Amino acid sequence: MEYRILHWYHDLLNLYGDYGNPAALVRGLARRGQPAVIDRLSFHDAPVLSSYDLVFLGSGTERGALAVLEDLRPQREHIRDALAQGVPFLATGNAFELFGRELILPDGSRREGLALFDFSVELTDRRTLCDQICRTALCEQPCVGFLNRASRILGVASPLFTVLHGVGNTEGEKGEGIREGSFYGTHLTGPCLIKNPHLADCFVALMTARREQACPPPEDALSGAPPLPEDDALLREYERRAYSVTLEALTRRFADEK
Amino acid sequence: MKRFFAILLCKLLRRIGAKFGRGSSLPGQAALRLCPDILSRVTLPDTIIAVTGSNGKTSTVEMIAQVLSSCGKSFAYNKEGSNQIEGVTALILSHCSLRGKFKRDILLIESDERYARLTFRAFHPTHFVITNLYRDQLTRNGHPQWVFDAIRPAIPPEAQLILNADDPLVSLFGVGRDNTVFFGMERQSFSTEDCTAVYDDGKYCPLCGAPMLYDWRHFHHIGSYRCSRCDFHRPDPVCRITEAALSEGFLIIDGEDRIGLSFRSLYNAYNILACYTLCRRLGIEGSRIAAEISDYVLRSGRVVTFRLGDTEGMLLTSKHENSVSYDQSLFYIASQKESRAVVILVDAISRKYFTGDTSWLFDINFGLLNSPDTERIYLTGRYAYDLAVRFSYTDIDRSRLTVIPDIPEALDAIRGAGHRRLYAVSCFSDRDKLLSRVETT
Repeated sequence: MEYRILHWYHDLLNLYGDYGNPAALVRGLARRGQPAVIDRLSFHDAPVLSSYDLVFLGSGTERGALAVLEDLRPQREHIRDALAQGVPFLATGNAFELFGRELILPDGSRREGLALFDFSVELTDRRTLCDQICRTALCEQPCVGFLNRASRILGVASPLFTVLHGVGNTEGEKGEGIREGSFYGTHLTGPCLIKNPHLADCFVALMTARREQACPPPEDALSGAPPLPEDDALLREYERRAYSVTLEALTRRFADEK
Repeated sequence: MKRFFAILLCKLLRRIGAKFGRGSSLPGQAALRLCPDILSRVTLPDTIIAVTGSNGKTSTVEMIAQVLSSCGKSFAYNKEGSNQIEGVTALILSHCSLRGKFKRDILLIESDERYARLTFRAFHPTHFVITNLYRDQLTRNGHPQWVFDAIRPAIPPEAQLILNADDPLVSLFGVGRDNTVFFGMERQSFSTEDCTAVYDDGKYCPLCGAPMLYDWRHFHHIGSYRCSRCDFHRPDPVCRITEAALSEGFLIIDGEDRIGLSFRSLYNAYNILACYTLCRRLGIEGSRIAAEISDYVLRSGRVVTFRLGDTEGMLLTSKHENSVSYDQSLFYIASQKESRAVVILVDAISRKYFTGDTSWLFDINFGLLNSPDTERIYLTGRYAYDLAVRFSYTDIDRSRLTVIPDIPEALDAIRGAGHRRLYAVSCFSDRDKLLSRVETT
């Protein structure tokens, strides 16, 4: 059966080209001979989360994310069950902030989060904007990207990234994002899986490993994946070089700043 | 006394700066340092016009200036486009007497949208034009709603607001407010019922968050909308483009004033409409405005024609990190029914600040170029590979792409290919890397 990726709140949490992330996963699966589809769902859709191979949520405005929070609230138990079953969740930008204990708004008022993880978020009236180079235990090469948020994230015990250049969950902190069980959150905004092809590979591997564990594929399985373009090797080369260009540009920039 | 010296210093620095062709904000910066409240110590004219928004500020202000000057009005404006508080201070002080009296009848200001609040703390515009709010420089601006929140405190309660009715986030400034007028474009043959862009910033009501319904759109979230739940809807414009005949090259405003288009694009049409609406507020006749801006060629030169070998080229200056601006250029190219090559150049994302972020490429609808008329697409500049990866997520066949990061090398390849027509899309920050290597015509 084809792989199914959920792009949740695709029409509101899509501020920085985030739709590129599920698209990168479909491409990565095709390269492993696996067909995949993206379900694009939004408010009031109440998806069956456990039926997905991965759930993706992207960045929104502060008001947009709070609206999503209210729609997510009644689905909290389903999310918890899906996570308990090991369904990978990738939440980029402020989507991941919704999964913590509480959000404190700039006017001091408090909103209960989904409370699936033990961290809290202070929304700020200033934005933190910066290019990032960071590492994660998921892959060897460093990751690059841009952080664009109006918040501080407090009390994350297990960050997804260690920041080499840029900022962490709070200013001065080295840890960025969160990794808890099968939940992955980061403030690297936009199509970070396209920018970091090696990171996309890790998430593709997570999905395939999970399926193979549940049901090892028979030796002669027919894949049914769409054929790869003839010049896929060239395309991979473009992806790799796009990453290298940014890594070099950022590395030089950060060296100059010192 | 402090005021006297601040004005004197500003005038002197401006004169010196002019000699060396230096920036126009430095004299203002120096004056503000000497006398931080200088702007509240000068006597300003009765008419102060502010123009802000994501796109089209400079062009709109330039056209307003054209109309004002041809009508013999006495005015001053920030011609060089320095639109933050320092630039505005320099503009004001250099037109003040040493006793602090602004010597013209009208002050016309292009204002940066994010810092308008600082500029208008000391004095208040009487007319406040807001052109649009788009995704623009998100690595600095965050997002359009963030910019909305930044502009709101800059709007004085007594100012007349002149707003784009067709942009929901802009018309929101007028909700529950008197002394507000709107401009808009009626449905045209090219208007669509669905969103044709990669993303839809008009999907949800900016007031209550419920889904919005559109009767039609001109592009992106610009069109005729109403909320499915609350009363928020496109307000009635006082000035409207009743006909936008882009391919014939003219507009009709309010059914009677015909304005020729030197550049046949929708964004040009909106800038003209904003200028027209403002000038009508100042009591200038519609026919007079139309005559003055008909076929007006912008000094800011966003469109440049050139030759490269035997190829006729047209550069459509767009803004990096601004998908609406790119989409408009691509739409213009796609609407030209002729064979052409296209070159897209992304080398330095900004000239004012550094970022390596290329996520904005994914907000641009490059698929618009997918037509048999597009012979070849050249991708060049430092971020050519990012462009190539972005194109791999469109339906455009990769065999029609040529990826050459080195700009001179890419231009040689174009010259050698002998295309008849070439469209170049790039930003102010990058375009000289192309223009310095071709023959402008």
